[in-house]
Amino acid sequence: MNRGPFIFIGVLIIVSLSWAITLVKPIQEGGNLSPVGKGADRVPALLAGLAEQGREVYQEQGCVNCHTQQTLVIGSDLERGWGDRQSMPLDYIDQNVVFTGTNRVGPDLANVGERRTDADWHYLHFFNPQIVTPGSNMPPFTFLFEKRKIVGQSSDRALKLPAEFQDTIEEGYEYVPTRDADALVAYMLGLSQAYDIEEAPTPEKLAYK
Amino acid sequence: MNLICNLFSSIFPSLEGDGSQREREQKIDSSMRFAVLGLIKGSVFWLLVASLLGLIVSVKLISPTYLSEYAWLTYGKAYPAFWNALVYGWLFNAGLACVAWIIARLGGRPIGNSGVLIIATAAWNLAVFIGLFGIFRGDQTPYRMLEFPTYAAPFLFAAFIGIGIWILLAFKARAYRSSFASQWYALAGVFCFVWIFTVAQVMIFSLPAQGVFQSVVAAWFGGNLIGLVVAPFAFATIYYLIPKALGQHIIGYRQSGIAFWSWIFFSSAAGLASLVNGPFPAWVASVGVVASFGLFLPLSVFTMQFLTSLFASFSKIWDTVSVRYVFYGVVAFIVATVLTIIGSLREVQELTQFSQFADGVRYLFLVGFAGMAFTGMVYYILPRLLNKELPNSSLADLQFWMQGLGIFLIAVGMLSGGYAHGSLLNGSTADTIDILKATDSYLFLTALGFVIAAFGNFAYAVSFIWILLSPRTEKEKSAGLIEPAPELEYTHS
Amino acid sequence: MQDDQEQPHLPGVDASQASDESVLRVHAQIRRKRIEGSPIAFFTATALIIVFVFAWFYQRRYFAEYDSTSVLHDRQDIAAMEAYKNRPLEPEGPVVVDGGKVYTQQCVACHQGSGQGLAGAFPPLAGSEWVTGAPEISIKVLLAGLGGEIQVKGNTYNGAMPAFGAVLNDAEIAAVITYIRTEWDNDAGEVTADQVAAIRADIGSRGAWTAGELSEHF
Repeated sequence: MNRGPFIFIGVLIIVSLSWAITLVKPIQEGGNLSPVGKGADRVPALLAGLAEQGREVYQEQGCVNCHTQQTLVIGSDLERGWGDRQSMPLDYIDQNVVFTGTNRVGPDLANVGERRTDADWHYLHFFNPQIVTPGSNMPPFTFLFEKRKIVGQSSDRALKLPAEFQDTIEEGYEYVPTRDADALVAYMLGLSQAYDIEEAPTPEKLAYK
Repeated sequence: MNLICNLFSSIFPSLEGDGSQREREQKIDSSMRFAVLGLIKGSVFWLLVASLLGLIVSVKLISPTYLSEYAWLTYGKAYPAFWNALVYGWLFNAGLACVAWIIARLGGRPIGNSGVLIIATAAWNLAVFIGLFGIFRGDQTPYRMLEFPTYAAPFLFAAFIGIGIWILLAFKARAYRSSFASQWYALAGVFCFVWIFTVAQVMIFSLPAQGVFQSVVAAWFGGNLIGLVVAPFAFATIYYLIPKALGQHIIGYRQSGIAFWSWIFFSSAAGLASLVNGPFPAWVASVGVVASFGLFLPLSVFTMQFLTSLFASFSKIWDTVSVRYVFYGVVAFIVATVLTIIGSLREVQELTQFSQFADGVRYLFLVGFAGMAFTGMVYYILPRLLNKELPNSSLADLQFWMQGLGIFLIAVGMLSGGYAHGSLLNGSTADTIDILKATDSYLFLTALGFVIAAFGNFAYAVSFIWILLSPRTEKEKSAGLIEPAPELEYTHS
Repeated sequence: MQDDQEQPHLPGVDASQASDESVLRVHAQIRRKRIEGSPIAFFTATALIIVFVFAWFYQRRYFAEYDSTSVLHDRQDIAAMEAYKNRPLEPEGPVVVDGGKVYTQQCVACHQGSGQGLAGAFPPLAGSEWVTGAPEISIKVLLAGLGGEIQVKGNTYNGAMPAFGAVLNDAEIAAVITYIRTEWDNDAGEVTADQVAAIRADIGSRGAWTAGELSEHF
């Protein structure tokens, strides 16, 4: 071990081995899945245009640092109603960056479009999470909304805050969602893995004898 | 053939001819003074940035409206910025400074090409700056430790190549043919970073793997960045400092080869353990679990070597600034690696997965082990580079206790908070808001730790600037400030 | 010792306790020297054995045959999924065919969704005496088709209804006839697949019916 090349070659062999076995082999074997079915029956379902732009906002804001997008059959994800089955590699094949995430400061979002179907809920939640989920430690994303002076009639797109939060905003002003907010909400509503995958484990399938 | 010859004949050329040993050392030090100081300056700057960001992040977790009006500083941006400033800013600069200096000193020859090192250091820090700027601008990628936007990667890569080539040249130019464990780890860290960074950039961004396999590559990279780059630099530092500052040879050094190769081998897949139960091939995560468990082998060798060597000169530990840090680092390393092993087991991950537990282990390993070891080394290097004494050793004393306590509190807060959070999250159907309330006190503990550690880091910065700017005293102007080193004693019966 | 009390706790410079050259030399010596019965060598060997034993048992239990498409690690779970995949399909009960669905697929083009047909071209089904009359008429028409002139609700039509005997099975024919006999205020009885099967066997293979042949059922 007195020479550089000896250490270099040794390290190169070990790290290449790890690379070949744990990365190249599984990608060769499992990394070329294709979607099943066509049109509305396609698995995985495709995101609509605006929702696809919402993915970029999601990435920009670093949502992945607090939210995962993977439901596990182990643990209590399914009991919480975060999903009906284990997330599978097939669910992610259309995504060019994946938000599987590693931290759950907040809930999992893989199926948020299934359990939070109300767009207004999402707008209020992004504006100030305390309105719809009191006690949450999610930061408000007020900057996704444009503050406007009300001239004459108030905009029909303006946020309709509940009475007790009315005084948190300046009198005579209204908040209108920006395009980023619209895209992000569209993405939230579109997030779903609610289609069936035959190979995806569920508690019922695992209990099958 | 060459290889075999060298294995059998370790040549120790007598360099008596070109001056005394102390003069030779001074020549080496002065040949790289500017370059190594540049790396240390960068590391101190990024340490301050990271401790500020860490403070902001920990407060934001408790009080979500804190600074929430700044779109560029949401939690989602401050959190990756904190970790990246910590690793690429603080640990890489400090680690490379230590390693460069060790390689030069163990080589026994003044090193040329310090211009390469200076330019590469500047480029590296510029790349870190661009990367952080990119995160704040909203260009981050969603992969742990790869959050720097893709346009920062070429700079980072090129700068590291520059530093790496300098280290290789310095190693090649050595006067002594024999080599020491510090040198193996330094070289291994340099090789590994180039390799894993290339793999990650190509397989995730240039020729992206399909869907979730990008996450697999990212987990592999994240584990390797810590295990194969930062940790080796820290091992190099500890292997060097124990004999140098304690005058104690490494007990059980014969087993170093086993420790080295097994550490590289098992570390190279240990990061994959974080993928358990997710939508990833299950056996890949299992390889990660086994690899993490395999760390038990190098861990036991390191523990025996470092602890017995340190305890053999126990009385000197607290009276030597640098060895204090090394001692803290060794203890943190043992605890963090034991937690890595335990935390990778599937049964434990069923409770701790997705919680702050993994962050706590990572923090303890990166800052408690590597960061403290580098700090100790910097305190050993600085007086020699500048020919000055520490201007105020009470400040260094204060810094040690502040940083030590801060890191301890952060680790305890994250680990126990993570465990409490994870067991409620994965083991019950409690509402997420209720879980948050149940773990509130741990978040406070972590934030408190960040405050204390920030004071310690600030004291470090003050110490550093002080020694940099203070005028030399009479004693410091003389060449005799630093005594010539005696021979390392080794008697084997 | 007295001195130590007065000195600051930490020195300004950590003294070098070993020269670089001697660090290299001594450790190179240690590496070359074999020590009999070294406890560290013993513990290292023990750790090596523990790691191998763990790795062996773990891979036996959790490596799941290195199947890169499986997200399950536990052999029990994998066996359960395998058993589920190969589960015996549910025994085929009486298949309920949706007559309305067959109607929209096969009949709507001519007879329209409202069952009114198209004036002058396709006769109506809603309120048609042919439909609501004896079930045999409809069954026969469906099976073998109908040609020539036919009077429906006072209007004369001259068309050619194709045969569906080869396209639809007995259950589907029964379902679609039941559908047209009960939809749009029609109020005639159900038709079963058995009835269809009996008539299919009775008439055998033949050409289209004429209105005259069918009027015997009135």
